[in-house]
Amino acid sequence: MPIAGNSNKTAIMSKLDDLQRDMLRKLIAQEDGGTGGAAPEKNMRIYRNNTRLLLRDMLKDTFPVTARLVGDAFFDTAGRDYMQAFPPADGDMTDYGADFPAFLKRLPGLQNYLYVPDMARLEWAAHAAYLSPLYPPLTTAALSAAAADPLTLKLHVQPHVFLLRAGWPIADLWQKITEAENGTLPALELKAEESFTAVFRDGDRIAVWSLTEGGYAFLEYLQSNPDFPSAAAAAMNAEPGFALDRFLGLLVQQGLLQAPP
Amino acid sequence: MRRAAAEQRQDLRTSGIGLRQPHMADILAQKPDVGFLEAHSENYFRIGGVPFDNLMRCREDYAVSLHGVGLSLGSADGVKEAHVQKLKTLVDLVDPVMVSEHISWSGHGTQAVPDLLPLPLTAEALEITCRNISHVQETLGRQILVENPSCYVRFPADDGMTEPAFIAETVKRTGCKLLLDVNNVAVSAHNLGYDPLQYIRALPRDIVGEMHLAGYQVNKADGEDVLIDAHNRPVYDGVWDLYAAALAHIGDTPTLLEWDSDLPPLTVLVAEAAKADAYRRQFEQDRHHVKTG
Repeated sequence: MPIAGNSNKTAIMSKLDDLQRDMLRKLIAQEDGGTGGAAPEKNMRIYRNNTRLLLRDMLKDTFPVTARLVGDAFFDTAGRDYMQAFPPADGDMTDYGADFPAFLKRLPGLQNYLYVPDMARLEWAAHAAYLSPLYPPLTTAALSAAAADPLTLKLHVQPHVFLLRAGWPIADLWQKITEAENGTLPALELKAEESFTAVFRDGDRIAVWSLTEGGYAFLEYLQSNPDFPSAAAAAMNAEPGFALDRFLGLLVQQGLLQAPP
Repeated sequence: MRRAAAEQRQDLRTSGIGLRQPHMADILAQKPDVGFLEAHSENYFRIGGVPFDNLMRCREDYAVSLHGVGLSLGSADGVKEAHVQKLKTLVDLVDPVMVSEHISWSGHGTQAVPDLLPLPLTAEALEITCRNISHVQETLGRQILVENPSCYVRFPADDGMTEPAFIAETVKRTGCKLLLDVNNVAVSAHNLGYDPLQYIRALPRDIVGEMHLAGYQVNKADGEDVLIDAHNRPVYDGVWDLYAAALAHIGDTPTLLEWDSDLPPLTVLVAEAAKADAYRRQFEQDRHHVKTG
């Protein structure tokens, strides 16, 4: 109730505010009923359906393999529940789905299929990699020159490299499903085992690598600190006998390290 | 070498097409003969990502227009400053020939939906929308165009304010231009029961800076047809007729073909743009005949 004398403006200004608050709440809750005297009320369902279907399709675009693993019916319900638990925060929807892997992990229906949320994590990493910049890569020649003094060597990982540690061989699974013809789900023989994965941009495409624990530890260290000797020590510690030279060669060949600034 | 501002404006004499990711490779490889490409701004906010890199490649050969879908110009609590700043960064890098958004809203507070929701045609909504548009124009340092919405419902209006009156007043107060979506006029006119031709003729001639054409979808709601602004098929004949009427009323205007779902091969979209060009040439000829006849 506006205070008397506080001009009509306060009362009027609150009208659109109220309408938008009410309509948005109903769209996200998928609640029946009109808003603000809108006519025809039956057409409000078009907006309700648009909200649900557009957000579901957005998730499906970001998590296509996850969607295939759980099937359409399950994905529809999960998409609707996710929309209600984590509605988009603003009109830039690029980050919509960031909480979806963690959301899936808590779903009672997936407790016996915990590779599903791990796959969703991989797909979110792929989404993030796709939207990350490619900086000029470190060349073999530049690495050789810099490696003359390995104790002071600094290595910067490209921002499009994302690392995942999971309880399932998700890189293999992702490969099998994305390569399967005509959208069929290949026969899956999954057994729980610890896996280490790198997801990155290969030009305009996304590539997924299975790593060993040493490679994972090396890159993980470099992502927070470019100091080569410490990263090498972290790799050797995680995997005694780790073939660091060979791995470094692969990283440079794939352009996963940045040229020095 | 990127196309300069004068060249870009020249390009608008030929109709353009909406730039969608599945067509990106074909556009870059085939360089179809269209006047310009219109990109949904938010899809390119991540500077340096794959979509952005491809947009900048397109920009080397084409004039580019940035068409936002998430700014929510009608939000009672204002536009999100972070969103405006991301748009500004993109606009500064792309140097687009036009920047456009919608007369609609999509968010409030900390929540939003990926839709373009209608505004009540009230003095209050008008004031809020104008304030938001002015803020965006000041931040970007340029004029924007705003698109008439497609509507499935109508809220009770103040003193019977019509949508053309709401739009004309918005343009007058803010100095923006109208992006006249002809398909949206057809969709809203059917759903809300008004005459689309009357709507177009009620618009002042000099406020339109661009026109959009697209295909709608016909759904049933309680046994009645509802037109949905689906952008998933060719432009309907009735919408082409309306487009011809709009050209006659307003004059030749940069035109863009939109297609967003069930995407056809690129050639189909290019052919639709060529059809719009045929309408524009016919209009110019008719005008010439009237002048000289």
